[in-house]
Amino acid sequence: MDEDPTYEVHWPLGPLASRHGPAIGEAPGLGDLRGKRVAFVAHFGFRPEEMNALLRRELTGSFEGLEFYDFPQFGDIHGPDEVKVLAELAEHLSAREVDGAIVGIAA
Amino acid sequence: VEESGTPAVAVVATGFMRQAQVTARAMGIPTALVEYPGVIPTDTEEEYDDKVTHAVVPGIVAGFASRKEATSTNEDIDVDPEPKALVFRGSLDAVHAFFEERLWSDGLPVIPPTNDRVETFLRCCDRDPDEVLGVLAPELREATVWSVAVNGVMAGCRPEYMPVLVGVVEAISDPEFLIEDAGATPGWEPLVVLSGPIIEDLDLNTETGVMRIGRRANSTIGRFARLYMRNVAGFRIPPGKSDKGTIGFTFPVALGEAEATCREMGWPTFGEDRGFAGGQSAVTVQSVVAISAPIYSGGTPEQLLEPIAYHMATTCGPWASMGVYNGRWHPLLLLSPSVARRLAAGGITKDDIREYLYNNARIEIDWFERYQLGIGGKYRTFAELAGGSVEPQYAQSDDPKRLVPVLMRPEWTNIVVAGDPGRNQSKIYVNNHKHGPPVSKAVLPLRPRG
Repeated sequence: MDEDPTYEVHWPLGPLASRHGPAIGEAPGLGDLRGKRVAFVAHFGFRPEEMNALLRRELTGSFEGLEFYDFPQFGDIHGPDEVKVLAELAEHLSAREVDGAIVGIAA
Repeated sequence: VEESGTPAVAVVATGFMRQAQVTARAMGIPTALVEYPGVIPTDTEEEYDDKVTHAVVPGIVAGFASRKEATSTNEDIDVDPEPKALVFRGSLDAVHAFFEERLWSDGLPVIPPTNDRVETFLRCCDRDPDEVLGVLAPELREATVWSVAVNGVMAGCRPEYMPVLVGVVEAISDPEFLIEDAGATPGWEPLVVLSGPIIEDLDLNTETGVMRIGRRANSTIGRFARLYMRNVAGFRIPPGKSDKGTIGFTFPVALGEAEATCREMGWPTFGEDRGFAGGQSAVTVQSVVAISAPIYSGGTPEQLLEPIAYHMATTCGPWASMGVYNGRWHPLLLLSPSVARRLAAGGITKDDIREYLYNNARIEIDWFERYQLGIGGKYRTFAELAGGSVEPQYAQSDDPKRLVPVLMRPEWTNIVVAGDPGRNQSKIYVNNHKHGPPVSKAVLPLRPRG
């Protein structure tokens, strides 16, 4: 039997865009949640009302002075208007001087 | 959120953790991921309460307190060679084993992407090999002309397909296509539809068995689209991490229309419907998430269309509710040439067909609303789901048995005439709402690089 031919082959993936530098800078840490403003932003599809109620109950009950911002005011981050919602999200968070955000999307 | 300088903690269900990790690392953002242990839509209210209280909330607190840095430990993406590197030398079997081990293959044998083969492909296209056609999520890799050639070789394409392959990648790189959602749970596939002279130039099958593997151009161009989404966008089934198609199916072969039949009937071709001149070749890519049963129809124009409307309603089914919710729904009718001829002889146009289907493909809205329980874990009326933005016809009464259209706009139904001209069977290919709507790109004539 003849010897199998050999092949020298190229890499089939594409270069990472992030090799030019991180796409997104690192946000600072938050630390203790007492007195902080915390927002919940969510995809409306996966029981966010229940999650919102539980997060509000547990976080405001555990951390003195914590202000909790409910998810509907930020829009549906994976809904019909997600491009617009995401484009405006930073502005909404900034307007409320939010210290940290809880993001829920996947089921 | 991170971009705004706001620390974020993401709550992710167990089954999506690995996908979230890949995305976070590719974006270079801190990986503050908190696991919801389980499947949200099927957990009871008590289970949900318990898991959020005892697992999610502590995770959020810990995540904010000591967020992890964006790590450089991802085993998939931190060992990248130079883009044009030769990465292996060996026998055919050894090449297959090497690629499969690294998840660089779709599981079928590949043609080894040697330098000679890749260069031959590049000579069939006057594009700079380093040109970046887009950046594809979730791995956020650059879609270069070079990588199109490499994957085209692997998929078994011929070099002269290269302009089409570039068009395919331009289409899936278009922001409208939402490639980042191609790993969503519905498990859709990319359908490539070619139009114009390129159909004949590349010898696509447009007749009997048009959607079967069996003709090289149809088979390998279809394979290429999925392979490229796997290798460059990064949608890999286990042991990969980013493809969350719950069940999925296999890639469809590329589709070409029997354009001569359209012209004989006086109908515009699919390419013309998409805005291209008759002599212009083009490629359209759209998602396909469901395919109808075979639709045989005969008789008068009304009788020809009745079963198509019925199958449109049943194939789109309750899933069409997500189209209504997301504002996009673009099914494709693959229409039998013989049925098309009968319709055209009766004075029916493509637009007449679209209008008929819009008016007659209907479903009880109760199915739309009850289906939300399965999708998201909670029954919702349409008004509740859409927050009041749902179109009036879907919220005009409280009668759960009222019939509503599964199609949102008559003009959003695409029609391609193809298949066995000696039979009377059509099929419907349903796209996945706003994920993978039809996106078309011109295919430039073959102009080999010097």
